[in-house]
Amino acid sequence: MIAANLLAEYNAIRSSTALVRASHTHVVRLHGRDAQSAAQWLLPSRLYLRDAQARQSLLLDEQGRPLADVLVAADDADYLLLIDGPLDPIPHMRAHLRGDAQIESLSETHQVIEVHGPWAWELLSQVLGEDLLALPYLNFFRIDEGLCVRAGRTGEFGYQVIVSRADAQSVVDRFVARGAEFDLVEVSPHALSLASFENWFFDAHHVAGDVTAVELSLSWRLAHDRDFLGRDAIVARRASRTRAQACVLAAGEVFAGDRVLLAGRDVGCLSRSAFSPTRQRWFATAQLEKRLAFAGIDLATERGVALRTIAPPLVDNQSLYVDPRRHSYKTRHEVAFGVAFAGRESPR
Amino acid sequence: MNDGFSLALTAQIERSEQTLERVRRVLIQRLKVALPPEQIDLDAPLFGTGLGLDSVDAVELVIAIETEFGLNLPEGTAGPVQFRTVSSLLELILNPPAVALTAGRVSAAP
Repeated sequence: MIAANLLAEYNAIRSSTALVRASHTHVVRLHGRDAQSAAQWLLPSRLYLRDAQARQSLLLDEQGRPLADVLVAADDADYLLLIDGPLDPIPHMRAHLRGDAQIESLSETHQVIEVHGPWAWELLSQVLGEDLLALPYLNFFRIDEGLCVRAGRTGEFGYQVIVSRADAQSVVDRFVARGAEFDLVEVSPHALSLASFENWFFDAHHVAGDVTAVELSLSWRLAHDRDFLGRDAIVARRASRTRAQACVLAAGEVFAGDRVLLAGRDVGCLSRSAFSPTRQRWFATAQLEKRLAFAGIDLATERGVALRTIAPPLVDNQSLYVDPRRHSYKTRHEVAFGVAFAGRESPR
Repeated sequence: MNDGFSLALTAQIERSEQTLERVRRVLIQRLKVALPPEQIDLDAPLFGTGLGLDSVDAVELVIAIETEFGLNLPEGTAGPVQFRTVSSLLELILNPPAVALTAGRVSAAP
């Protein structure tokens, strides 16, 4: 079901520490006299941020379709954007920029190193300084080498370290050297994406068809009291939508594009699927008639594979039970982690 | 509403919809979530950047859910995973652990 090397990477993310040497995340600085109003037009989320605080946002097109996942942070009067998606975000942002504001891509001069896992915090503190133990979720610290942002996307502790390309190799070397004590594994984007999918994080690389933030259950990321690029389309779609996203567990292998049936009637389709190493089952994202998005509904694919809608995430993450004030990787066996999921979620 | 579903499924969906509306009301009125109800998606994370709840709100959320739905959730009956999203919270309310039921009063009726 899953290749051995991918499983080793996945296990590092879920139970020890994992390193991404050079992330594909785009780093963009938005600055200038009108940076705030430009950010409010380009980014649909609420942007009440104090310095060094971050928030999840999106890049939408005019039709309200998500082009990229964005983490936006306030950096004094500037905005620092960490952007993940299938396209280069710079042309889109420049095409829709308003006022006296500039977009500066830092990706040519900087590298993003990522560290994930329930013990990432401990490795990070030993490599970059103990101050990082106090770094709250969705905040960044300025460090000697650049910036360290805490913003996991796997359900485990996660950090993105933004350093100049000149310094990147030495920082990676320090992580690798110290990481031996933490069973550090260098992981691929595929492993990271699988862990992210299990935890039901939005991934702009897997947006299928004509769906907006509304059908993707991302309305909570949208400001409701101001205008932004794509808002008119979002409002219209909210009034007319017939579909909603749901997570389904499958009794066998399923594929993106599989039609979903209820008592023989077509009620939607699967848009992404994967095998969950934690659940030892196939699972998928489904776009269904919106009343069917609740957990506990039995369905089937057109090929007869039983499905059941569930409430994600699929993982009771170890990071939820690790306390940096009391625990350490060396004594990890003393931590009481969560229990397995109940059998009622299994498809018949 | 007749969507061509069986009576049992229709009843199940209506119970979920009514419970979702009550959860949204709790989040807005008791936890001061500053979003209109229709923007509180099933997949919305309750804490952190999602709906913005924090560790202090966690206690208030448990109390509010216990009060609204007649549940008793002693420590250990529900783990962090049940409080991750609106959807997982809904699951906890609709299918609570046996120990959480008090006087069998978990219903969709407001």
